[in-house]
Amino acid sequence: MTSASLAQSALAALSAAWSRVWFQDKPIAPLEISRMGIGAALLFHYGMATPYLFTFWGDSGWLPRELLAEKITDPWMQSVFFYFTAPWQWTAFHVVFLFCSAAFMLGWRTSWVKWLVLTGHISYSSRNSDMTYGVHAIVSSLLLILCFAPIGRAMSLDRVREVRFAKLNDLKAHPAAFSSPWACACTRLMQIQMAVLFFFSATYKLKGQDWWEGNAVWKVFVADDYYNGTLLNLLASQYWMVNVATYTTVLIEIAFPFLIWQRSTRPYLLAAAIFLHLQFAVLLNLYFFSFVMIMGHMSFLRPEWLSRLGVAWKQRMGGMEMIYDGTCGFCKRSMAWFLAFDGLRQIQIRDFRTNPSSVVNDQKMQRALYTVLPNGRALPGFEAYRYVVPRVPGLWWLMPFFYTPMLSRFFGHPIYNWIAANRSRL
Amino acid sequence: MLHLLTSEQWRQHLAYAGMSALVAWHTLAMVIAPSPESDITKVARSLVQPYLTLFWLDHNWSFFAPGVENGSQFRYIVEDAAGKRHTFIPADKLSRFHPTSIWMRDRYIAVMESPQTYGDATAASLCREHASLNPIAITLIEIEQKDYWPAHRLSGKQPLDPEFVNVNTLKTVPCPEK
Repeated sequence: MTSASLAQSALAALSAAWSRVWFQDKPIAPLEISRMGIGAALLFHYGMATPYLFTFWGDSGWLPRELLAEKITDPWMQSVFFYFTAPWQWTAFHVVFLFCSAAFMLGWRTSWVKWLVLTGHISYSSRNSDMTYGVHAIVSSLLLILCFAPIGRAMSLDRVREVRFAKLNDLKAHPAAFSSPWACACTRLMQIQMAVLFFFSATYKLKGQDWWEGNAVWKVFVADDYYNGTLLNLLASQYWMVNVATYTTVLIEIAFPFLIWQRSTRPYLLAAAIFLHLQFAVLLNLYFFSFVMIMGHMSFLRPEWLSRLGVAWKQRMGGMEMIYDGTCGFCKRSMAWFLAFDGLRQIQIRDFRTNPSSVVNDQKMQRALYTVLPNGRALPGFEAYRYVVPRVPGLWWLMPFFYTPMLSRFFGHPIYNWIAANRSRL
Repeated sequence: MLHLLTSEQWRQHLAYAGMSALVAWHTLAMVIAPSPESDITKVARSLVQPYLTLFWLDHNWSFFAPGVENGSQFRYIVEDAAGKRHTFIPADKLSRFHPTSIWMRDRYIAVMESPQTYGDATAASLCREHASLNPIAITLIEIEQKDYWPAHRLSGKQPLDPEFVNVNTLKTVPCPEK
């Protein structure tokens, strides 16, 4: 073999390895879970700060513009707040940002909303950097990766719109689940981000005497910001628990970046990391930080775990057949809309005009839609929807309309009956 | 051989090259941001610094590390027109369950670390907040915690008892006359 062909085969092997690491065809679902969680966290976090908008980020607040000019010396540190001059601009921006965070969480117009959310978050952070801490950098890091990623293709209103559009032509249509090499690359980036974060978090801890000697957890709970009297009483009498908690924290953080990649060890490391963050949330009250970190860890969910979970859910809920009137345009449109939320494809459909049911006769079918259960029981109209809603995760948001005690049935039945009676005119 | 590629294949190769460059660049930035300074990282950092700053990615992830600092508490004293002094501990009013509490605490830390920068603005807002007391001056105070160990706890002492803290007066700022 010549040196040229050796080099060529080495290059080919390297290229194949690069593609295997970064560019396999993978579903986007794990990143969609991160998107929903981070969107919810941002909406809550900044939403709760609304009464303090001008105090935190305004020119008359904690960091007046003249002080800001002294602090910001790097021209790369940017914020839209630097360019605002009138109070209404702060208010308008804040409202738009909260709206975009909600849209980001729901996956509505995700392809451009995600960039507005990133811009907003960076703007708040840069306007008053004294108020930022680690989690703001983590959110930026995860958001930027989500901006690169082709998100909004699953578990989102964008996906609902896509499926609904296909079902308007053919109710039995099922657009293929999205997967792409770029989804894999962005998932990998988020995984590396989490692994790097844990690695440096652990190595910096190992440089410190408090961690090395096993006292760090005690010192954290003594500090006024995290003071927990009950816990301190327990730890003071059982100090070995402080040592165990301190060393376990470091152990998980140092093991994570090395063992999270292997198929056999990933479940344990992922569970350990989530456990660690739940401890931070409960014992240190670092809810926002912990939740965001857990959402970052969602990138390590294997797509096959999610598939298995979906299959298990479908089996547990059992089959559901919705029988509708295929000659009614309104019925077909509303079925297309309803079925678009059924991401797990749990609902079977039957047009009684072309495919009559042996369970429900045509006379009954002309009055209402029916859901037939695996045991042969048939539920009409409002009750048909009411049965389906809690069993299809994509429809859970409808729960308040169908399960508010007394009110749902009191109003639901007459509303459904009126719509069914007038469906030919709708 | 390259000249035999169709325009579609060219497009695919370019997209692949672009995606590879982006993931390589971003991975480099993720690793360089928290890395300690060395001859190698210094060069790489100069390259990625604008990117890290612009997207707010520059953090070393050293949570509670290398050492866990002893805590501190921000307090202030409002001196009213009659010469009476009222002490306030703002942290006592914060709910740990409310997300703004962490921002408020960060604000107090900023005041304690840089009283010359933030003291006047903070005191001015406190003068307004306590206008009903007819304040004539606000004194900003830092309660700096010292070591406190299990033996102290078991003997019934508290972390903020006088023997475990240093009281640092940061600044006294007169309130504007009405």
